[in-house]
Amino acid sequence: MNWRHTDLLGLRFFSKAELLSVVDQAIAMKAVLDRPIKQVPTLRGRTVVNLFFEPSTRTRVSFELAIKAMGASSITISKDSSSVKKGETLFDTVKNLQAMGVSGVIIRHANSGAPHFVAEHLDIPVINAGDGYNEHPTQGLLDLMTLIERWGTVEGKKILILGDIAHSRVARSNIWALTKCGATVYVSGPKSLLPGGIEKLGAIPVSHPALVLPEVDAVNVLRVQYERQTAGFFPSIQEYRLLFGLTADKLKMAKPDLVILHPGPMNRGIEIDSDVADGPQNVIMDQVKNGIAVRMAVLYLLLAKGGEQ
Amino acid sequence: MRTTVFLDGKLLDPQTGKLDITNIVVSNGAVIGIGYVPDEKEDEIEKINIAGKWILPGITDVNTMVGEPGYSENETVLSVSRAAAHGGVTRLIPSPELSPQLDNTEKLAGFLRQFDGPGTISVSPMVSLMVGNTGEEMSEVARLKALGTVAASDLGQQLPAAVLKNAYKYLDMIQMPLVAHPFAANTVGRGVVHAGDVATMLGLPGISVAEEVTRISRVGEWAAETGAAVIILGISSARAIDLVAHLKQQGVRISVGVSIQHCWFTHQQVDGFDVNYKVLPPLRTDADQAVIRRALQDGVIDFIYADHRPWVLDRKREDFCTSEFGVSSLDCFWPLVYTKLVSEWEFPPALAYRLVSTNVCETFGLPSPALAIGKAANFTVVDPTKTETVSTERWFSLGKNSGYFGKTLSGWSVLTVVNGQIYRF
Repeated sequence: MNWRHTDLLGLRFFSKAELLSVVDQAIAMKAVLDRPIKQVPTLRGRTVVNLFFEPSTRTRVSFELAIKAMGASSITISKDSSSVKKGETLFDTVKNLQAMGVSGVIIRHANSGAPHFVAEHLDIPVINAGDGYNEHPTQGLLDLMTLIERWGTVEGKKILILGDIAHSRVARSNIWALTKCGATVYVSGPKSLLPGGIEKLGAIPVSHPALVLPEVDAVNVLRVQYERQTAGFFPSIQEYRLLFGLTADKLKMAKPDLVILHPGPMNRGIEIDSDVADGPQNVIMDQVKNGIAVRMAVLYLLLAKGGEQ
Repeated sequence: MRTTVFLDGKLLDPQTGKLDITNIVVSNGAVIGIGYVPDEKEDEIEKINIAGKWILPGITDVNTMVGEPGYSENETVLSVSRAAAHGGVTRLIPSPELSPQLDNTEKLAGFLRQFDGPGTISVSPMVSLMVGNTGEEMSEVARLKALGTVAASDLGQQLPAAVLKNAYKYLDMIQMPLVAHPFAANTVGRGVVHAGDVATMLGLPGISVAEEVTRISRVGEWAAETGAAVIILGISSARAIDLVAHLKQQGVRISVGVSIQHCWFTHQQVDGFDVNYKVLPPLRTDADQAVIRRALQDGVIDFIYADHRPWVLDRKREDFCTSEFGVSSLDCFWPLVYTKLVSEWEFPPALAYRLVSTNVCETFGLPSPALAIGKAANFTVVDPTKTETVSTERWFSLGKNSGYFGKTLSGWSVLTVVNGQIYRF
């Protein structure tokens, strides 16, 4: 199909066909990861910069591995090691990187819209590795891929996203990707963490997970951050677990073949119980591996395919 | 001194809306005649034919950021004067948010001296109610009033109840209104947009309507109890407008201004993270804008101002959350008012004019802007048929942070006369 994107800023602007074509590409890339030498020469000679203004282990390492697997080299810059700490603006930082001849920029930033700002000012591809509470498109893609691998399609499936919807870029990217591909998406969490107007994105808010747990095919459990408690979004971690944690007890009301996703890092015993996280229904390690494959596919589509045009 | 005659212009009557063809004679910065052509030798008189054009006296902008002293990278006295004239404005009530902040007579005198020279606009100053940023000591408002101050501003800070109460009583004694801003950049928390579905969609921290309503309610209730006058600068929501209408019905001395941005845009414009739609109070919904429109017609909202906040490029060339609040809008102020209110909303031209002139003067206790013999010559000659696309090439403000570039507006000024100085466009 005709690839029209020059950047990956969010899944909101992707069509169903585009989403599925990235997943197809990722499935092909995943085969590379099973080879003894996990590398193709597609992007040899290219350098991609990982610009991480927020701490991250999983996503950063996943991108680094994907870059290496595509034959490119990577440079990772964190907030503390960059001249942003000396007061350089984001604009100057990325303009300098472009002038140095890098082939693409991957950016994670605490502010929604930061990657869009960077993309507006750069001619090279920009990949959003998570911006504020807006989007985390490669996470949305890897979750979609994981479910498609499991089911063949998400069409007609029902998925519950559980937890802190308000502060979750994972939730937004999941909602866009899954609803576009024909799934029904429910969101549930403390009302204080369910933002008004979420139904405009195509999700159906439910006040308690028990209302939909018996009928859903998958649950995507979001990480709950401790600071939300001190900020007064809910009274205690214990009460959170009781009402919204995915416990063995709650699991009893779900379908036996329920698929359990978690974007990591997990707070065991809070949003998900340890025996649930390690139980047979979880696909968390598949998600991690698919993350690399999806990021390889994205790099290929933006850097290699884009470069041919 | 040379005499200038503006021939055959149409002088707008702010009450009836009638356009009377007349001549305006200006000499030595003042109007010396209306309706006749002086009998002097031809070479001593400059005649400017303004047939078909409208004469609009004394358009006044409020809370303008004039840049100096302290922020000359954003704006200067000369650039703001030229931008004002371009936008049809002849008088500014500038924001006291300068460096140093205007809170004593010495600073104010220095501020006013900047506007003495040629090429400068008329100003009626507003000062900070409190000295410095600590909010503990009141500025010498009576002495400041003697220098021409028309209002004291809270700069968007939430003053303790006791301070607010005493300030109201003291200001009432000297017949000076308090200007209250529901929000300021440093009192808005993390919020950057209206707390609504666009904020949810983009994952941006929101600013609730409830916050705006409670802040206005707070200053409104103290105005009610003390009998003092308060001017709300910046209203954006239907619920806040309802509250103001209610307070006005009860006889509370509350006046309110809306920025022209809130007439033009809603929070939908924020979708796309364009920093030129990041303003305070935030742009809200279509329904809120419909109520703003009605409130302008029925008088609940008293006036419109440009809310001109020019920023040097660096300060706006940031991601949405990091960039500063505010847009540069003075250069096209009257064309914005004319195009939106008269052309699109079909308001009578006289109403649109009153919202930026006589109503502002009444609210701030300034004399009527009407042209009269012996008074300073401050008027704008606009061509209602002059249509131009807003562009950086014809933009005098140093701040290019504007969502209006590329918009086609009508009603541009062809001449703006400030104390007899003529700006030609």
